Amino acid sequence: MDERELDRAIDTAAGRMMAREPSRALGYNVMARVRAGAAPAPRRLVWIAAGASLVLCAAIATALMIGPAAVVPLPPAAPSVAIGQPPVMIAPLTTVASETATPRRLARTPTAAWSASALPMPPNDVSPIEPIVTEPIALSTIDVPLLERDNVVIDVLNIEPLTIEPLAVSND
Amino acid sequence: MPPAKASIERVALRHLDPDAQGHPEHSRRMDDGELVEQVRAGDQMAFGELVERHRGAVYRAALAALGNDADAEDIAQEALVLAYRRLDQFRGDASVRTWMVSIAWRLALSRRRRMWWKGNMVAPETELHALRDVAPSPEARVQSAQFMKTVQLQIRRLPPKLRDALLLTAAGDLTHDEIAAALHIPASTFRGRVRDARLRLKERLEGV
Repeated sequence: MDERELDRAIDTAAGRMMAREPSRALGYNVMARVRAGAAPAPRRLVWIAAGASLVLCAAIATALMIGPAAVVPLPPAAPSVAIGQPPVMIAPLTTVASETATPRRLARTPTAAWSASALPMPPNDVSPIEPIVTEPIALSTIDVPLLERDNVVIDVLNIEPLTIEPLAVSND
Repeated sequence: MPPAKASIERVALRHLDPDAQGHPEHSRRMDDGELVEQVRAGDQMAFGELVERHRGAVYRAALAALGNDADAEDIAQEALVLAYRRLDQFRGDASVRTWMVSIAWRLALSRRRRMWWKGNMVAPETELHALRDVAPSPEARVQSAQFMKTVQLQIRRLPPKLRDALLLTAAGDLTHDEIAAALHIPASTFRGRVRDARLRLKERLEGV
């Protein structure tokens, strides 16, 4: 058998090994699985999801930046300073921001949204719970007795002037 | 055009455009790229047309790697479903058929690694009958059928890479360059494998 016949035999044998067709059920099964929910994931959906996430992040960041400044009351100032010192003018209570706030946040004024949230509730939103009646706090004056002062008398010390003696006299 | 094929195309076109039945302008055959766009737009029937066109090539690629009908059909089904799910990743660098065959090939190799080669790639009995019909005499027919069986046995005994190259070429669904692209190897490497497979087979068959 020459080489050409061998080539032909190889082609025939290999061709007959591969001369098969899939069953018709293959196409039906594939389409059944496709219809059953094997939906392709279009790339545009990924972009839509990414865009929505970006917008959400931007909205959160904006809301944080323009929100109302934190009101931190000053600690109550002492009513007086140390005795014997000249009187000190106490600054009035002011609104300051926390130390972690940024300068931009300090410069902001309360927004309309924040102002709206501070408005009184409409009648429909009144809670059915009856309010608790409390008696107003009556401020009573506290009488603090004044401390008695003892008059201290200090005797006057008479100090005689020092006299310098010669060295010869003092060594003897 | 074969009647069955023409019928498939008519069904697909009728689905894509219900108003176009029988209209000469719409009776043209949509190419694969247009069908891909239709599928991306949500038309599942367009993918059905792609399946009809390429399921044979996908199946035979799996058959070349696995050697039996059941596994080949199973892998072909998985590959076609996977192709539908990943259709957004198809960039059009290669043909749709090459792309689908490459998916099937990767799945088939993955399964082949898990299974032992069982040697069930012998030609079906019907093919041997066909060989007998062309032989001139009863004795020659038996010898020819026996020789063909020997050749197929020697093909099965080739190293996997050489056997794959020979069988994928024999399937005739793709060109050498397309097969090389589907296998992700250089075209020259693929041609070298085909040549080596033939040389080895000839060496083994010369003494028969």
